[in-house]
Amino acid sequence: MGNSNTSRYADGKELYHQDAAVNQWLRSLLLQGVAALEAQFIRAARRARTGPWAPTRRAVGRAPAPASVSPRRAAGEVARLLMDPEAGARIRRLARKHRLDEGDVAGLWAATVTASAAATLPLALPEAEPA
Amino acid sequence: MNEDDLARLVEFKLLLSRITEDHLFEELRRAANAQGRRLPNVTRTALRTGASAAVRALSPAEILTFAQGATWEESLKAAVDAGAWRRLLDVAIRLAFPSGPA
Repeated sequence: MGNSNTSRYADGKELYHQDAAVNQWLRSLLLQGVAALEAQFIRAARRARTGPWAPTRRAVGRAPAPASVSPRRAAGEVARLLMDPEAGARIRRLARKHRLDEGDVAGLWAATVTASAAATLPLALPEAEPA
Repeated sequence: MNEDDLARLVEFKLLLSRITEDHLFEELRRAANAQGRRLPNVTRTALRTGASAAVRALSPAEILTFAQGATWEESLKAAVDAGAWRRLLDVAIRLAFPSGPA
């Protein structure tokens, strides 16, 4: 069934592990439904309230823009953050709260602080295609 | 940026990523059911990865697009109006289910 895809993120994580035909099917289902998703998004927003997650403009304005770093450096940043008493504790709290992997949260933290966002992206984005 | 500001910004991104993942998954389940097909086991993981990567790639200016209203609802509405939500979904979908090796 189709060609096997074995793409990886720049940090070495496997991006996906599915048959190309399955990926194409799932992608096309979603791209057809994007307009409906926008309406759902607004409905969800009506139920939500501003919470402690809302970032300040100052914080956003000071965050670095995404940039490319080596997988090795990105992994080093994640390890350093998890070892840091204060940052590590905050990261673990966030991971528990959102039921996420600590390493993933640390990666997002590192991306926010040190502009290493691209370390979690594939080396090249898939080509755009008509919805 | 102090640690509290940073924690709120990271949590905001986590929330945005979770909303993106949840909405894409629900839409996918609905669409697959309509076709009488089941989703592959790794679908949720792929969507989580795609949504997270798409949010991580947002620039500060794009993040502000999602956080510019006085309330969460206002902010997200503005993001839809600005096309930012659509772009985020698009990137998340293409990263979750790539068309070929990168």
